[in-house]
Amino acid sequence: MSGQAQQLAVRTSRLKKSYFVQVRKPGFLGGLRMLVSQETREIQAVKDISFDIRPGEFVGYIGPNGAGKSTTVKMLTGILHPTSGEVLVNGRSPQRARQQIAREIGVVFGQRTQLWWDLPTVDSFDILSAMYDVRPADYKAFQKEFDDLLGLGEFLDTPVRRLSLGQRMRAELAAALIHRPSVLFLDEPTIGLDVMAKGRMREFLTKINEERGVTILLTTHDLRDIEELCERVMVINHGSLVYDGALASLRDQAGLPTLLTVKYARLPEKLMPGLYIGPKGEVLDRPHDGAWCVLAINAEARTVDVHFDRSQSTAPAVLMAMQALGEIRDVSLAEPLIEDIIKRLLEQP
Amino acid sequence: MSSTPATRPQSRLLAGIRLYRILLSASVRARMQYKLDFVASATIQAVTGLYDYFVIAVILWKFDTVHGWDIYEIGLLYAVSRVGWGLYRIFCDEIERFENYIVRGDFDSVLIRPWPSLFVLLSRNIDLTRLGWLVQGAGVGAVSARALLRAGVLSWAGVGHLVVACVSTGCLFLAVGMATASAAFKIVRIEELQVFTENASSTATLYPLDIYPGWLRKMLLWVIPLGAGNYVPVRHLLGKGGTWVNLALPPVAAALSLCLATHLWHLGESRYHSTGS
Repeated sequence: MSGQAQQLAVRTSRLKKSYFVQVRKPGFLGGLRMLVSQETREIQAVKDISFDIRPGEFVGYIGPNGAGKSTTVKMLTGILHPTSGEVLVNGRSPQRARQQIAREIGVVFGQRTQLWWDLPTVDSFDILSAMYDVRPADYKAFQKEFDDLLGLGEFLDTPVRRLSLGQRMRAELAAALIHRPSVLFLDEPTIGLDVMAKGRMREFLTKINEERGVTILLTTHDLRDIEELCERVMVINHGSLVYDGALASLRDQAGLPTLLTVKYARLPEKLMPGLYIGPKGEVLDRPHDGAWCVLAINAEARTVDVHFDRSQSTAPAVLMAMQALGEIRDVSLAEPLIEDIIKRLLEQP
Repeated sequence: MSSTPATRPQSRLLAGIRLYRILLSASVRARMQYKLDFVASATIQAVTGLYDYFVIAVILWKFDTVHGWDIYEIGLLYAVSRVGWGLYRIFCDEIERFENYIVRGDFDSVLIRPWPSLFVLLSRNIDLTRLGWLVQGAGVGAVSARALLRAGVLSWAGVGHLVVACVSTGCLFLAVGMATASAAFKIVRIEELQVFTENASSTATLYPLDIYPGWLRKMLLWVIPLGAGNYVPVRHLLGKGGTWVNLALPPVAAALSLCLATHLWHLGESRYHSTGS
């Protein structure tokens, strides 16, 4: 209704999570001394995080391993209690109202299944629909809809343990949405999937976000997921948020450069690190419009590393330019590592 | 525009029962898909259990009685214990396997459901192969009871009390199982602890507690109170002492133990919320 302030889907305020681990004692008798000692060391998994997510947003949450992404999501879903700070999901605390909030959220853990391993897939859906008190009419509608969207019909009767990873992730997604939650937490859902399966999942997520207004928080290591799905991205490093904003600005600040490595039959003499290659293969000493930076050259391997931004150029275009410089023997592409992005972000003034 | 959850106002209890029923039928269907496996598994469990009875029977064949208990009387002890164990393992197997939930982090999946964690665990799986224990225990019980009824030592009312004792023993096993599982929140690996609290103590209570030293008897009645489920009532039913209190004790002990075990569980769970897995 206009005029009424919309309740935030997620709000965290100065969220902190610390663990206390026993201090490791070195040496042969160290293990024994650990048994008697009470000394503990504080590990801060999440240091001081605050962010708001409005209903209907699709937010990406990225960071290196061990940065605190999973810990944050576990606090949002009520699995962990924060050491200090506040968490609200749909206006309520997941710590105090875990079971109520559970009805309003869906969770998919990429590496763990929430389905019943030995039972046919459809049984997991039946059980979950009973668990969440889904009306029979709504359940029927769900079955039809998701069969269309995810093609579940082909493996409904197969036991979950026999499903391929792609099929299982489709089933997990469907299972997380049976009760029509308003917020969906996805923890590395595309891990291990092949290109086609990833594409299909991304299409599906876009659809439910745009057509049904489901708020989505996506934790991922795959930057292509972020690029194709999220407008807003949060970057966490060592327990702190180092970036929270539009993806476009992240690209501007840190760049999301793809690394192209080209192996030549003979290294072009003109090329040196720090120079730029223009779209027609010309070698330039400063960045012109559309020129790509030469990062490194390996004389022995006869390779040249070039950075280019996917949002501005395509791999074939870069390749064509580099072909003008000499005969190419081999090509490889590498996507930017999150660690590199963070390094760049931290370098910003 | 957020979607609203499709829920229906319904009492929690009814919803819980409905959910449990669906799980039961799903488990049955799953098992029936592999009929041969089911029959084989149940049979093997029955036979394995009978091995313990076989040991007892051999001892009694040699010695006639143990502390004044003959083979049929011990058979009742055995039956109540085994039927209780079978009931526990059929309906509460996931508690027995709780270590995996902590080791693999699967407890997180339990916590995101809109039900208390214990209920989610208990309703996760119903293992019908454990019927082997139940059938075997009931078989020994039937044979023993028949002999004792004929001899006039046991009355039909007594058989009713035995059934109550079986269910109470099942609850006592659940309480012990839950308390042991709660330890997993702190020490993670509880397999050896389970051997002590469950296997060793349940084997000990297959025999009349009279044969044990006082401290062990007290432990099996007060600490790991499995003896309260079979020894205490059966002793009175067979006229070996005690009063009607003996017959009232199993359900009371079961209720108290379950309360204590639930409390321990919640303590463990709040620890999990603090420390994760």
